[in-house]
Amino acid sequence: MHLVGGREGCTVWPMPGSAAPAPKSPSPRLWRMRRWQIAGTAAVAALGAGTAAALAAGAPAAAITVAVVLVAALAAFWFVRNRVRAWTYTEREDDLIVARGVLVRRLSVVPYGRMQFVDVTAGPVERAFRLATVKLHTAAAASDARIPGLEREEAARLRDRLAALGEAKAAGL
Amino acid sequence: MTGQPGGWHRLHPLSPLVRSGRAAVGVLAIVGISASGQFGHDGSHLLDWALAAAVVIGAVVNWLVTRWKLDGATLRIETGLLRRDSRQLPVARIQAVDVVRPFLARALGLAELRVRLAGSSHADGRLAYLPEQAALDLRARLLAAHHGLDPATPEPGEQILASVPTGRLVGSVLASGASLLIALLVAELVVILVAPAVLAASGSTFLIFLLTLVPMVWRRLATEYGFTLAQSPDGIRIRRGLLGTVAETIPLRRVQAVRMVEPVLWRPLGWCRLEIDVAGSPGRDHADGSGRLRKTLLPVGHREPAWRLMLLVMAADPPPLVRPPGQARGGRPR
Repeated sequence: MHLVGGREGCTVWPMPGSAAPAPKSPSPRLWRMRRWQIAGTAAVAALGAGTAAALAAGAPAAAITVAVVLVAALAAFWFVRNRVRAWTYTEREDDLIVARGVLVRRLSVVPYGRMQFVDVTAGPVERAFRLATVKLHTAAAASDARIPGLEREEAARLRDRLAALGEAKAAGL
Repeated sequence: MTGQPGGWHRLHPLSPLVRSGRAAVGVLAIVGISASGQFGHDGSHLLDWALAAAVVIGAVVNWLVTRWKLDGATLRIETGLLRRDSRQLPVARIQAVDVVRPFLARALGLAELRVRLAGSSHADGRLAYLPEQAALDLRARLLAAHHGLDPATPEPGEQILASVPTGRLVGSVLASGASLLIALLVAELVVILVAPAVLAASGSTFLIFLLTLVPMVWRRLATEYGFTLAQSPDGIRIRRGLLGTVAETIPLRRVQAVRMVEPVLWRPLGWCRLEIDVAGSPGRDHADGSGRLRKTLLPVGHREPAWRLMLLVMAADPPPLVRPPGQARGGRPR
């Protein structure tokens, strides 16, 4: 039997009798993009803090500062990699499941019928990696489900499918 | 509205001008002040012009990258230069459609269409600006599609339910708390005129009160001037506004609640106010009040017609009101 929504501790068993769709993950390019983002931020931070330390307290202080920044960047690599890996989404018959988070696992189930509208955004960095973020809006402002780092074609497919399903299964409000 | 391949449309070419209208006027004012040389500004006005140019270029770019399309039962809006944003608004989910015409847009024959969905914020579903007729046509198509009809169905006729004469609106504003405070201030003014010594003591507070209250009263008058409520098969229509006008259409089943309010000062006159709640997230409040969750169904009216309106909006007879049982009298009111 296939578990929906990934990891232990927060799983959803498929409905009996229904074929369980496999959870999907964001594009591998998302991890590449995040790597570049961390590396870029770390480089800027190391350069800035290192120069400041060198001017204020000399070369040894600068070396220590840069080392601290590099260690922080490595830690960030580890955290972000886990976070990217943990992000999964499953298109079930009546609802979309988005599971995310490492320390705090979070799993949102959005019935297609409750979806109000779909939003696809692509920031400058995302566009450089040909990625897009799909966001589902429900009537409750707090319960938005977001899937980052989808390949452009997958984002368009998901957007059209969600819009069509929302239309077909519309309920309430 | 420029036609593009694939059924996409642009906004009206004048919209950057109207959208940056306020900012442009501000920049022009700054330029004018520094150009008049009163403040000893003897350098070039390069910075001022650069600022003005930046505002204009930003608005034009925003216009260039924005396009919309009514695709069957979905309204698509794409916008953003660096951060591309593509929005799918299912027509069946519409909570209300507003046609907003600020003063400048009205003078140029333009109108903004605002599609409200539950869970949307102020920026979602805005098309600013379209030519007036195109906005009305698109509204008719959206509402027809919302009711499951062919989008080409012409806009159905409407029947006017209530309108608020200007005299009554002014009277209602005069009989509100704010105007009482103004009366108090006028009395103070009289006292000041009689005894100028008081001015030194209370002049500044007087001014501050006046500066806050007068715009409040003006805003109510300007937004609710010429208020007309009409009913048509695609929903209730509200039209109002003095300088800028707002036309709201709310499908009847999208009304979440109706409220009748009777302020103390209005009760001797038998007046009341009707408000309805519409789903959506409050977002930033617009100056014309069209961004609010709570919409005014009737700014001021007599009780009898107001009650009938309320029954009409609820589309059912309300159950008789019941008091709490007698045994509850000794209980703690919660």
